Amino acid sequence: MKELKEILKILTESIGPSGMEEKSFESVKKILEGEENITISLDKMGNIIIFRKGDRKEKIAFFTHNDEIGLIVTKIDGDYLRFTSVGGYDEKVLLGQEVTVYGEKVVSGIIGATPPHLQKAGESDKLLKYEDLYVDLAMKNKELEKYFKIGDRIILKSEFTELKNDFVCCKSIDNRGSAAAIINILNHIKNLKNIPDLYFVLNAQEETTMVGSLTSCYSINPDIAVVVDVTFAKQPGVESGISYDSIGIGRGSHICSDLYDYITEIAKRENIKYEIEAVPQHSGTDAYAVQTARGGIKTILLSLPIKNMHSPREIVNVKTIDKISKLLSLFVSEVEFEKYGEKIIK
Amino acid sequence: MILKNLSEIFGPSGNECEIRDFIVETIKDHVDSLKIDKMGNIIAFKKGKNKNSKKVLLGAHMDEVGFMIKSIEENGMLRFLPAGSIDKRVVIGKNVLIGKEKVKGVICYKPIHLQRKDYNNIPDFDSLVIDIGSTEKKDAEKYVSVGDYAVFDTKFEKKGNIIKGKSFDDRLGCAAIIEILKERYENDLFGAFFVQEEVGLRGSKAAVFNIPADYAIVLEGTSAADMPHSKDEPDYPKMGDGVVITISDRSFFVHKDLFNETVSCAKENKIKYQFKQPMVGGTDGGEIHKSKEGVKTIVFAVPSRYIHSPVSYADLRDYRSMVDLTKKLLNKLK
Repeated sequence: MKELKEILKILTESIGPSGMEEKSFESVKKILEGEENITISLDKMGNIIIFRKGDRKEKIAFFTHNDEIGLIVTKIDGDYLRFTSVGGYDEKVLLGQEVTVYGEKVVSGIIGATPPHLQKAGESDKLLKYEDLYVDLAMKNKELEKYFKIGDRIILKSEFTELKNDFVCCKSIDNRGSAAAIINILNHIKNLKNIPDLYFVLNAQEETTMVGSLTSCYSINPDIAVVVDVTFAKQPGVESGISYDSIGIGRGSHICSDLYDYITEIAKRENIKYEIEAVPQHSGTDAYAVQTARGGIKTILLSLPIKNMHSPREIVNVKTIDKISKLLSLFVSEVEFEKYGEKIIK
Repeated sequence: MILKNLSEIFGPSGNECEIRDFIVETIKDHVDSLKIDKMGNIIAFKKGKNKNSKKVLLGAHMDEVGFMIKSIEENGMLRFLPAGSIDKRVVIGKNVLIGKEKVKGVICYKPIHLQRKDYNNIPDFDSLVIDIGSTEKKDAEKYVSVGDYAVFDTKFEKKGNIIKGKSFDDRLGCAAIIEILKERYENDLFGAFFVQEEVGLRGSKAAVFNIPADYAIVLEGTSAADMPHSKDEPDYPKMGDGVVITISDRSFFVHKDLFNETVSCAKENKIKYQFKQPMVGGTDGGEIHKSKEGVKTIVFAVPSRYIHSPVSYADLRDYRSMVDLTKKLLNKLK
């Protein structure tokens, strides 16, 4: 079992755009090498499920999504590839960006940018859209036709970089940062007793349809579901975000209000810094799909603040990830399930 | 009058505990079994008189549209988000009640004198605040927390057959089921009060997973369209013209056998009815009819003017038609 920073590095370096998440299965196995008492499986929808047997009969499932946003080839246009987005990149980050294209061959390329010298007056004020952009693999059309086709996936290159004060910068912290937080619970519960059966689910396809959480929650049918996703950290221009060192705890219609009260109590008691996130309607997270699975699932939502969301250079503080793991490990060992079931009145 | 309680009790989508407690207390002596499921829906059961009866689900949602406090400004003003679909043009200058303690607040926008260019723009929720009378954040935090819910503060009144209040969508449906549950019918009856209809038909979706219904009748408050508007828009349903029967909305088409049965039942019993404009709105019927192998579903509603705003009207005679028609069907469906 690896330490948190290493878990985060392995997860974020693995490749898994929506619909192609199974590639990261090997990475998860590598992280959990040597860990006893667990099984790891890949279901037919591409969800990776880590199961840890507990010493209580109840089940808690943690849901994070494992897919990352990416690009997809729409056309081979002469010696270049045209593409569009899968899951919402801001076009403004793409110009001059290095990429990897996953076709018959895996090839590195560049998203081309016209040099200023060749631009007409005023051209640099024009916002470029997907249809204006292309990937240059420095290959001729004939070769491109041989190795690539429409639907091939493109991932932006982004190296795992350690910044000062426990900040790290890399791609796909949305939502592998949350995946690291839940897997790291295993490090925190080593010395804790009274642990229920735990399912750590790395869901497929959240960024597109949430099919992963819908299906995995149906099959696991947990007593309590915990969804962890990212949220906006404060940064210039994002005054409404939460502080990088706070955990976000969601409050709103997707969230069981009794469990919300309970987890905030633990956070206060343990002096774990948190901020309330108001999500009256669609939270835009897997909590939306999980809560109404089967006859309804008691669900809570935690969030990890990150900067530069949906860019290839997302930034997170590793200590904040660890706070989520700590809070959730206390939650699983202390929660009294009988308080949170169906209530038979008559 | 139970309609007064139902209209005034606090219960925005996702925070239905107060309205739920009230309904449970009101129905518990009239039903055979009663539970609250994991999402907070109330599901009551009442055995039918006939041994070989069908199982009919009567459903209404107990949540109402409202707001949630998003953040507290340094000057004590509250920023907020809508919970459910609310026209941003109706909220300025309205009173609200916030949180468990029902703190009174007013939704504010700068005065017309100071609006200048903004006068011609409709302010977003982002540019509105709720003023509770606090002048600094620390003080406001004594009364309100981020994540607290709020609803319009509207008093219920009755003038002859006309009632005025908030949340007639769908507390009128709740009132009808409460009343219907007092008697026993030929068929088995599930009475369900759903949470979270206004944020995407979420409560009914989960609840119906565990309800083995042959038929479902959803009871609603729907928008009456008989207010002044341009000539080329339909002006029905109308207040006072009877229970509204939905043929289709954006979430479902009524089952045709059940529809025919309903219309002939209304005619036989001389119950006043009218049809809803097709393809408008959506209700829990949308989730219920496609649950598991499918459920034959119909939606009845009381037409109400100005739903989803702070204050609406409805006509008690329409409510009566809805209750009567539903009761007749509960004995008749085979």
